[in-house]
Amino acid sequence: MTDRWIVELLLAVVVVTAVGVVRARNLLVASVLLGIYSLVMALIWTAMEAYDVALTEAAVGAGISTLLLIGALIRTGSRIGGSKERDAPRIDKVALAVAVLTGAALAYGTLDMPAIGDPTAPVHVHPKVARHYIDRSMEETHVPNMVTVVLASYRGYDTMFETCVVFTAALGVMVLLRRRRPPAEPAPGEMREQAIFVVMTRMTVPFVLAYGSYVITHGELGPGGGFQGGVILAAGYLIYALVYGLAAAQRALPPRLTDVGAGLGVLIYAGVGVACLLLGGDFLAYDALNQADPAKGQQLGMTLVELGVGLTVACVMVTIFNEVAQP
Amino acid sequence: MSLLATGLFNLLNYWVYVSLMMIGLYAVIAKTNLVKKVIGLSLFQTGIFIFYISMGVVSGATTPITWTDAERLRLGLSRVEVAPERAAAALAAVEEDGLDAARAALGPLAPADAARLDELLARPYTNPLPHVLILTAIVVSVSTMAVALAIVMEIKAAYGTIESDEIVTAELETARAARS
Repeated sequence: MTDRWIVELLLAVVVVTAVGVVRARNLLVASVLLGIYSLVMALIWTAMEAYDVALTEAAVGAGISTLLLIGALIRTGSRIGGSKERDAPRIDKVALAVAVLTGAALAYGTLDMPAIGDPTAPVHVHPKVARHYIDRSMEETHVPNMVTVVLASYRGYDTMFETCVVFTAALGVMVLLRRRRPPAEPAPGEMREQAIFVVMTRMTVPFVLAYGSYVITHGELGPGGGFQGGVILAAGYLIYALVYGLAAAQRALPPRLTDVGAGLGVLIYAGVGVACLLLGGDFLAYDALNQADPAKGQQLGMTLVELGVGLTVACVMVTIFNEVAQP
Repeated sequence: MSLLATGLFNLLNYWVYVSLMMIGLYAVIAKTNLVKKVIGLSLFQTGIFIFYISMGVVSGATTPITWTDAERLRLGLSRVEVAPERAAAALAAVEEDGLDAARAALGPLAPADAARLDELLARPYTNPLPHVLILTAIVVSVSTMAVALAIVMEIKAAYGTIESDEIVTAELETARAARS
């Protein structure tokens, strides 16, 4: 029960922050508030025992998406601090009525939902879904982290197409924003002249990158996996680019490489599926990778697939940042 | 707590999800600034994330990473008062014959300790499925937000503004000019 109270308290913070985000006239303030909102959300996921989700939220919500929003604000011509909405916030009565009515209908719908935490709720007892994952995943794959097993093996198809969606988003951003322009000029950086930023970046970035790789490869044993690790790797690049400037970052990691990497990750994922087919199994049924010991086959398949996901996610995030940040 | 209050508390997470979605929906309809609309969509999405993860919660459960019986027992023994040699016997028994044998090898415990140990040994897992769906959804949501922002940037380049009503006015004027 105490856990629940902590969650409810944090949820209250989140709702207040959300109202602040919508009411803030300065868009920069709204973006930073949204980052705080995500960070509190990561705490909520931790309190609800969803560590994999918390890891992703902390890297994506509090890091990458805030930077993307600020990048977009700069690119849409609004200088930092001056990116105000035109009108003073006033209540739009029609929108409020629509939101309240829809909300009331949804809240009415929740009255029939089972209580939160009820172990006999239908989502927890279906024998072929959650019960199967919890009771049999260890036996079938010898991998302790059920989230990774469900992600990479039981719902492998789903995850493959999620990876494709991420890849397609990068394609969309490239089509919209990539121009034939000269490579980024080393802009007169203000950050590069600040010793504290430079020294801290030099000290943290290697650890961020090492941690990202660890999270990708150890997803089977603890919280982690390709999605979480991929965004952490990208966050390392983003920190470097922020302090040393985009030109230096692109010299260290040429956009050509990330373009190839984004596609290669999807190819690795699908390739594992095809390899299973060629070895006589079903698409993405990793048992076929090691006929003698299906659990070993599962582990091999999951590791490869997670590597593919990590590569695609990291490269896509870097590509998106490059395109949005390019002046 | 009265029955009604318990009932309300049990559904509180769901109402937070409804509130967040509606705050997002309000921003999408009421705000003319396109970046603000994108932010509204993002709030709407996180409301749904809360809905999913709340459904996966099981009271008193731990994160869905499998603990072996021996690991569970070791944690349980560290939380109760028990003689070292009996703890060693129980740990040996769990490797051989499982939790029930270990519990027998441990012998009688103080009632409070026994209850705490049994609770730790039988601790369920939260539902992993919503976690999987939402952690991929978070990464997808930032990717789709990037596409939306890219479109907003192109709109700025084409119209010189990111206020939706000014864009409509500009479009109407272009149409009027083309007709006359």
